[in-house]
Amino acid sequence: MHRHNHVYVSGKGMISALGPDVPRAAAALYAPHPRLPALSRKVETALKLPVFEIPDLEPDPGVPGGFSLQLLRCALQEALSEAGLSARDLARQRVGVCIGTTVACQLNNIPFYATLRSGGTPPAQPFRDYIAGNPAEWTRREFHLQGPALTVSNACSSGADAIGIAMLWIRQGLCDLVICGGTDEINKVPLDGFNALGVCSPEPCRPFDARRNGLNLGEGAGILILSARAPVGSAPCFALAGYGNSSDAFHITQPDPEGKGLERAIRFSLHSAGGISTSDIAFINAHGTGTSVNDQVESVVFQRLFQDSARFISTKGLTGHTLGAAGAIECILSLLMLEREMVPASTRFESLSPEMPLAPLSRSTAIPAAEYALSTSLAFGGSNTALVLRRL
Amino acid sequence: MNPLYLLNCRIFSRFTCPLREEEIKAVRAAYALRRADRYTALAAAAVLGRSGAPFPSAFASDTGLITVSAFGPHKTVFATLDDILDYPEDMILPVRFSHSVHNAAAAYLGSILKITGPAFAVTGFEAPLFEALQLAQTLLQAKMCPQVLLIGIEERGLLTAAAPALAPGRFAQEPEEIICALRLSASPAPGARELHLDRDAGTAPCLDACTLGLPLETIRELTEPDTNQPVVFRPSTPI
Repeated sequence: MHRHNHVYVSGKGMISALGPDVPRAAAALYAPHPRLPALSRKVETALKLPVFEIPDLEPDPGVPGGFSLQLLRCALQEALSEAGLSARDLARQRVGVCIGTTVACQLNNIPFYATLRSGGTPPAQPFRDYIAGNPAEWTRREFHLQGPALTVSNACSSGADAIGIAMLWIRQGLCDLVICGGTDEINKVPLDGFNALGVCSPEPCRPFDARRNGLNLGEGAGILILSARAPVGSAPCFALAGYGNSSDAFHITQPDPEGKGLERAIRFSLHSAGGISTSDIAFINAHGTGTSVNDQVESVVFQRLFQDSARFISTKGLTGHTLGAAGAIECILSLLMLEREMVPASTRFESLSPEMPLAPLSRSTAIPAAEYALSTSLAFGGSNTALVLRRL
Repeated sequence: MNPLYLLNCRIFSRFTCPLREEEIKAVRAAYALRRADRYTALAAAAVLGRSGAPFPSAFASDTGLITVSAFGPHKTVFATLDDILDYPEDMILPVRFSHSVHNAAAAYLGSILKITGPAFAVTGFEAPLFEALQLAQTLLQAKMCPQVLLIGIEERGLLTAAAPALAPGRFAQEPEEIICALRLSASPAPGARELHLDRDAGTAPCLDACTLGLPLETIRELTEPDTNQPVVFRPSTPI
């Protein structure tokens, strides 16, 4: 067994369609009748694609970086509050920032571009906001931090990778504290783009179900405060225990059907968690998008590694696919499941298709005294990420 | 942190040698990159192009891969916006959209080079190369991979051309096109140069026209032939 110092979770914040903060998301996680996605209220589109937008939060045009940064600020505020950290506390420590995103690192403002390409002079503000709104750099400037500031854009595994990197920074003594996670918004570009790829469902998504026919986009942010020191006075206590990342070298959008890359990422995460075995994992919060190929690959890999005893679910039927935020949001939801010792049913799973070797949990399942959970993320470009979470 | 060693380095820019379009075209043809965008082709040519210092064309399969850029594949993002502006929204080319994400270039490189180790696309406007080097050092120290191939790509286009007019305080002139490839290890090897990442040293003077936060002085140091002197990296002033 390899021994590492613990990397503690001292604060968490989250905003998504599941709720505007962690307590309300926790309550909704186990609700018997989950909220359904709906046609977008804010994207001008004729596409009949239901999405999981965040209700009751209007975009603030004054926030640099757009709605993604607005979401990040909500989650960050909650995480710092739970950790009991003020700006002054942050200034006294070696604090790093690692944030995943896809939308916030692209300038995809359509009116701005329409003017630019026509030879006109577009307004400067969208460009300045884009430069100033790089999520990790914005956070570092906002709190006058001196540590590393890294924005990860690994498509749909960005948020999970940001948390994994943050864990390594603390383990290696580079930082005392790291603000990490992911953020992404729904706008016209991902909506039209994912539709073009033919992976969006016109119905509420059904991860791992025989009738699954695609994903629903979502938006949100999830932020963790990771620390080298145990939180004071809070019980139980949680830690980031392991991290693995590998690439498929297979296809730009499709995962390797055999899932060899995902298997390597999971194996490395278990090794990184001190050499624990697959039997130590109480449950897996899968990437589970609801697309045919993704769910098939995950099911195959889980069966290969965990045999028939694998207990896994997807929470994307509750939040939608929040892209660069997904790995962070799912990490936080997994921590909530460890805390409550209960894994909810995989949303809208009803029946197993013949080509799938394993079914997800179809009912809420108690996990008394469970110690470890695994959260997996797969991404465009064949990127695979696995995080091991631990209840101490 | 453990030491970081630079085993190979190539930098293509106006300050060293630019990457010629014919060479990019040759790399496209040799590695079946017809559908890839120019950003990805630049990344591939940084490693596989014929000009520049000798560079291996084969890597251990568990090599780590990092791409870093400030503006990323902004031309491809704009090409997707062209589709949205010019066609019905259900007629967007999926290949354009899938190439508009930052990590598409890393995905292509991984496929070409048969690299299945950890892979990352990272981005920033303040000191992106410094932060990417820090990530390489982190991955090596965690033993997630024996070596890291780090590719920096900054491509010129409509957006970079407009930058000085849109934010003159930040961009005195258009950001330069610059492509670099660095092979890094935690172990010394013959001819390797030690890299020191000195975050506490404050900001280094930075040529404001140069992206990736790579000062001209550092470019010269890195490309100086026949030397094994250590190179010190500092976070540079914002571009």
